[in-house]
Amino acid sequence: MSAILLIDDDPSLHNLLSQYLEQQDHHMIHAADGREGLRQLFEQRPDLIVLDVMMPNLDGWSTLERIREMSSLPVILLTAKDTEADKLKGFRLGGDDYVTKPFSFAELSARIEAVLKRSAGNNSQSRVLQVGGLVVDPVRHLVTRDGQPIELTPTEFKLLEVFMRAPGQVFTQEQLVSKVWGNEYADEVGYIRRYIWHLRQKIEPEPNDPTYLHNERGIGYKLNA
Amino acid sequence: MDSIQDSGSRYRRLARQVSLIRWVVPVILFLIVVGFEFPEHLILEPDVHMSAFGAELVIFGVLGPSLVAFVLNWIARNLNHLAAAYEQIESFNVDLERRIQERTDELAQANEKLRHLDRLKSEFVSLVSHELRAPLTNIQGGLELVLSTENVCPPVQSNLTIIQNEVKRLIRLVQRILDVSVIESGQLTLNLGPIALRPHLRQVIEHMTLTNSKHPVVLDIPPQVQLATADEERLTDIVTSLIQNAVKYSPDGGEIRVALRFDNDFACVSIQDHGLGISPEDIPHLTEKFYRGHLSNHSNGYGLGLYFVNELIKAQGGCLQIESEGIPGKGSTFTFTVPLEKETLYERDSAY
Repeated sequence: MSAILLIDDDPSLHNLLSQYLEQQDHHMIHAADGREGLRQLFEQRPDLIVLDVMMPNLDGWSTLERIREMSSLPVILLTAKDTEADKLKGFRLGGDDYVTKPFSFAELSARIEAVLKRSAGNNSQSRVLQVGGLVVDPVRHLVTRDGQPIELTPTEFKLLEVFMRAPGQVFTQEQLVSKVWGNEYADEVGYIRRYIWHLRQKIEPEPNDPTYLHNERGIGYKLNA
Repeated sequence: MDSIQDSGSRYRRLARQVSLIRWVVPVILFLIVVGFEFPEHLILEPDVHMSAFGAELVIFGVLGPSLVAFVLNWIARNLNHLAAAYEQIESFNVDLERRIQERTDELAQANEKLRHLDRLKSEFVSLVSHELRAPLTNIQGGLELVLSTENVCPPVQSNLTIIQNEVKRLIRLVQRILDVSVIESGQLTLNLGPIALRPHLRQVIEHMTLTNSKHPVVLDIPPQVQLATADEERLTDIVTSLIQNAVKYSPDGGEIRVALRFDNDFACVSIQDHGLGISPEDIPHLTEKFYRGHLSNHSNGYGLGLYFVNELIKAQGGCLQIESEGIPGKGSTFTFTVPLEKETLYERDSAY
């Protein structure tokens, strides 16, 4: 059982979400605004915070900044806006996940479980991957190089994630195609060379003299550990 | 404009000069005549009768210069008229320019006002749609909560499921309105990058056929390794939306064919159904906002889907073409294009 602090100014959401999450064996703590949320965080010591961005008094962004000054507890942001800029702002301020209204309670519940598992360090699929200055966060779908965010397409992300999960391992083009698109495309290896070229343009400081993604002549590619 | 003004002042200057010489020239002529006639008659030929001297003096010394004075006077007067006419045209021009400027300013103000109103409208639509999200979350979550309990009797459960589906429909509508307001406010952002259309299309369709087994989807996609440039997620939206449309207007069991062709600089993706078809007069209007044409009798759409799809395709450098004979059973074909990557892109890279 985990204690979840819900900071939201909507009493109906408090009521309904609490009932739903209590059915899932969570203990709910309520706060109607950012100030009260910070007080509850201090007094009740929850395991996870669900934080609404649009609130009176102290909004979600400022609340998140204050939370991060004193705690590294997992925070899931709730918001009515789903622009990329908002998501990035949430992650930059230290949010662990981002859920856009209207969301289903089942989806939020699943995300709470995933974030809790990840913060307990027992989910290898969701842990943040790092090689040199390159960081890939599989849950938040974020890539940074030396702290600077890099925008990848979903397929480029998938390809990079394959390399990041096994630094130093050489992958053949067939293996990469299978991992990214599925076994039925194993003979369409031509995609990989092109995708590697695009990936290098985005992640390498010098795409023509790659630091991370290397060709293993006659075999395939590997990510330098 | 400048040349009219120049001409006016040039003619005015000329008229002034002619006015000046219209008296000087006759006087000079008179003096010349006197200068010639006086020595001729009074010194060289003193015996010639004085009347000849008087007659020549009148004819050459008075009438001649008078005629010249009259002609010069006439020219000066006409030049003055011409200058006045040019000045009048010039003043008309100035007046016209002023009026055009006034009208242009008025139009610019009206335009700015309209733009402001349009911005307000988009902000209002966006605000309302965002405000709707919170209550929709609660309604959806409340229904989930009730439906997750075990002691709901079947008739209530069935009614709640209907309500849940309607809420989902409302959520889709709100999302679509927000999508449209994003496009109209010019805030659409694209994550353009390489895309392998063959596996991508197959994955989208496999995912869709998991939830719809009533309409077989036939794929006609050649195994050609070629990358296009598009926003993967937006491309998924486009294909999903067009297939959902095909499903909506097809009878159960109606086959849907998805084909991919490569044509020089573009990939063409076509989605063909064997449904109701579209009447030819509706086709040019289908991508207009809120246009539903004769399809309104057969569906509960909002007239925003194809508008949005078309805008997404255009934003990625492609275009949408709709073909149908309007005959039920023959269906329609929606074809859109996606720009292909150029092979020359990789050629200059030694590490490739």
